[in-house]
Amino acid sequence: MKVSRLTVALVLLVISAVILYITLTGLDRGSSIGIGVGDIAPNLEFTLSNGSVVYLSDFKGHYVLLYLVATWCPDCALGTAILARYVGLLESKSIYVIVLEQYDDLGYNGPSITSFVKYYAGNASTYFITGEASLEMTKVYNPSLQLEVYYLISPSGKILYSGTGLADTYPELIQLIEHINS
Amino acid sequence: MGLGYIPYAVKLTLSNPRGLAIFIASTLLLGLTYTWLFMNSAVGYLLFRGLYVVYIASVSLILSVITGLSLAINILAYGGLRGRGKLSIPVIAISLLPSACCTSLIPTLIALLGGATLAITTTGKIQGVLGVYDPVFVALATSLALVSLYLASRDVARGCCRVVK
Repeated sequence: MKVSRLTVALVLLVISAVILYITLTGLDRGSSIGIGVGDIAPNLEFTLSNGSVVYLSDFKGHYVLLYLVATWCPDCALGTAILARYVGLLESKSIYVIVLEQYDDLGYNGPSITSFVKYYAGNASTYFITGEASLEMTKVYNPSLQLEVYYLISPSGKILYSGTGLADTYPELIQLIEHINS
Repeated sequence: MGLGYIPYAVKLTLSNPRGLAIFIASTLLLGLTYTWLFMNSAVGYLLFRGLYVVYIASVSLILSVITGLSLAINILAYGGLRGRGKLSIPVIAISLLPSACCTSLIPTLIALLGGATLAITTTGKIQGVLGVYDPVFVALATSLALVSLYLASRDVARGCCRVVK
């Protein structure tokens, strides 16, 4: 009888752990994140940190790595720091890195996108273009409401790669970037 | 006897092979779960940056050992999570809150209830607090775990329940 109680307690603990893992992390990684690979990136506007309003089409002719974040999100901070590690590679491939705070910072007043990138990307932050995404842009590029999504966009405006959870998924992105002919 | 209850009950529990087995199993299971979930959400990165791995390892170790001891004492003394053992449930729930900062479950639920725009402008109000104030939740969970351990130890030391011999 004693053994069975112990077994039940341990089995319950294991089941709880599995459910928690699936609930808290599994849904993040596998779900659709918006525009599919091969589609043309919708030409939407966003505001740069200097206040000017630009369109994604303004960057046509260049590779663009578009990274939408929330500035209060630990995963986004880690993702930004990881991108900073590869700034040499990104620069050598002439890839513009645009880091945008999602609309209204998803409802929580975190630090400004400029100070966020400066703090977590360090010296590499000068290479990053920062700004704030419009509501429309947030909805279109992040319909499943992830805290962070990213897109690699070709010079012709086609989505080459998309993902979420940059801290976990960056190796595949970096591998793809390494094969780009600058 | 005060805090002296804890070493007494811990010694009593761990000197029993079954108590030791429960402690090791639950501590390992909880420790791995905490580490896995916290690493997935980069818990502590906002505050500790590169040292967040050390933070996660320390927090996971502390929480899992205290909760593991509390569980072992309770299971051995009461034969389950009755009595003070019930406190272990809120301890585990609160300690897992920081890892909920980065899940898409909350915005998805809000979107289902009120649409995408509401979810975009509301999700941060919940998850932002969990992400920014994760050390507060960790401290709260640790305090509650210590209270749970103390109460369980006191009960055992006072001989309220089926004390292990």
